[in-house]
Amino acid sequence: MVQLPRLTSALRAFSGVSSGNQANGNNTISLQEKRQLQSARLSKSEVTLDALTAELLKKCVRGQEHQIQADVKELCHAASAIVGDIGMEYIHEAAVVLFRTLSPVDKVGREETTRLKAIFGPFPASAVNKAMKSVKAICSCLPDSSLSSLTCFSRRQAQENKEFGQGIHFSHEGLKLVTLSERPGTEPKSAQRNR
Amino acid sequence: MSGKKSGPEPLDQQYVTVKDEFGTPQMVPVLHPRWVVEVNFLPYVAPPDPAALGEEERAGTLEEWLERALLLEQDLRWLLQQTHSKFWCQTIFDESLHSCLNAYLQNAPRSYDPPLDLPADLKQQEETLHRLFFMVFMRMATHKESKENFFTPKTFGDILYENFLFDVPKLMDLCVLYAGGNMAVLAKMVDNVFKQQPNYNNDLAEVGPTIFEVFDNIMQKCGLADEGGSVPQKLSERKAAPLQAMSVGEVQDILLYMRDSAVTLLVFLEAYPSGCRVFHQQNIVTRICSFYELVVPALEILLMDRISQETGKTSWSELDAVLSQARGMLVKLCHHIISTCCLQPILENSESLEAVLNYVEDYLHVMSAVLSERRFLHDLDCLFSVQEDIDLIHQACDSVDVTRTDFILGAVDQAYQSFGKDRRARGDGNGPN
Repeated sequence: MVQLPRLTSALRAFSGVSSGNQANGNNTISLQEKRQLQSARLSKSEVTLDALTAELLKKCVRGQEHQIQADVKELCHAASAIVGDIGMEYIHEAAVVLFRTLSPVDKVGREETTRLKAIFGPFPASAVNKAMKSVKAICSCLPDSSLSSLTCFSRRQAQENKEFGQGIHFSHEGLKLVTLSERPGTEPKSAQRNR
Repeated sequence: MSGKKSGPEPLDQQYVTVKDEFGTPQMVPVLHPRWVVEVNFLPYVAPPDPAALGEEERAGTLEEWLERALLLEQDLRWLLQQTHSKFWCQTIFDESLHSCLNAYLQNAPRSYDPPLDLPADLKQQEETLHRLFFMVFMRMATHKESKENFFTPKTFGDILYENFLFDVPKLMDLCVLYAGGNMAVLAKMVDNVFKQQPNYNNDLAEVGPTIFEVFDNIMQKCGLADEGGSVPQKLSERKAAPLQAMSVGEVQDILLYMRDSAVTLLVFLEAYPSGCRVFHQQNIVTRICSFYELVVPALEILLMDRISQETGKTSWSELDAVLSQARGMLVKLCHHIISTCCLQPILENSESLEAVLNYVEDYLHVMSAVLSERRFLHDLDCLFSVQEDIDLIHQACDSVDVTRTDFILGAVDQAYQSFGKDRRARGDGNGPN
């Protein structure tokens, strides 16, 4: 990116009204480190995989417990394909994130992909499709009421954490610059008014 | 954070009870670094220019930027979803957030920068970040979010100022980035920051000399600096590269700097009209007019020559368009300051003759000071009728000396006649833009 000349850069550097400690881009955290931190932070507020599995087993249709356990295992495989072989703890956290993200939807859309990419970084589409398949299989073992209560739970959480500014109108319109291309010697505006 | 006192107390006066290592209860302020979450905000990086990337690196570079942007989006959304107290703990004490916000203000593309041919998903992501950053700044500029969530106004102002959450360059960057379609909200934000912390007005006065230095530096780079000035110059500084010898890149830098300076000042003063008075007291209009009178004709001649010499090359013609914008914005800036400091107050104070006379005198004084700047006067009248401004003055006050206003209008006429005829006499029917 070419650094374009800016008035505010000069003001920052020479006017003495800005903090001298305004680091610009010296945060050396790598994308990989950031990804792991992000994942760890998000997982703190989530339930563990064990707790989620227990909840699913409690709510599933009778006789489907083994199927649920097998599908959760499949989900962990898919999670492993997404996050890599970085330890069971991370894989389990990733599986929970995948379940939470994919259970309320029928297919992996842009929104889900964006959300998952922000957490895990780039991943093969096949892995997330596999995860979607496992999530759907798990959901099919749950009665509709349990499924909707799970979805409601996710929505309720989202509403509790309402994003500031959601109701504020925002425009992406750019500045309109005035151009002055009048040729010297054209009739003056003042003269046009017959003073 | 448990044990919060009941009742609507300002955030800056709220305490929570926590147990120390010995189990003894302690009162800790709600606004305290201990509540900061380790987020590690990535600093914002502007999107890469696909046209400047080789075939091999393009896909990887774009994907990496998108990944960074997605992580940033995630963090900004998280920040905006936090409660009032958590948002402010993070905002005040998280240095990675400070770097991130500062990097955005400095590096985010301006709407008038050369456009990038970004893939649709990157463009959309950039727009998402643009909005999210605005919401973060808006929340930072809001001292009362709801009946329950608010600050003591004075403490709010002190927090902003002491932690450099805003400063004058940041406020100017905000205006440049968001004034396009969000002027009303932006003006409220900026106004509230200045209202809650009057020290920002002092800072505004302090940046005045640096602004003048910027214009002086441009003149110097063009080899047009006033060497007879009072400040002694080093020998090494005396011989600036003559304009005619400059490469297209050097001229481009000068023009982009001129345009950015004009746009930045104008949109900031449009969002915060009270700032006009601060700069007006430093005679900014006359300083800009002198700059304009020297630099604009010199650049016009240069561009005209280069365009005629290098037919077929678009770069010089593109620079000509940038000069037109820089001219338009500089003229509009001067008129905005004159209008805000002299003309509008005449209308607003029509009941007080003494106040009106003071503002009229101020107007006449400024205009008289720039009468010798013929080129500026010509261009000013092209965009804003000087006659209309003077009519307004006469309507507001009968006792205005007609000789003085006629003198100003006469100078406008002369600017067209002498300057205009001279330009036509060059035999160039089109003239420079």
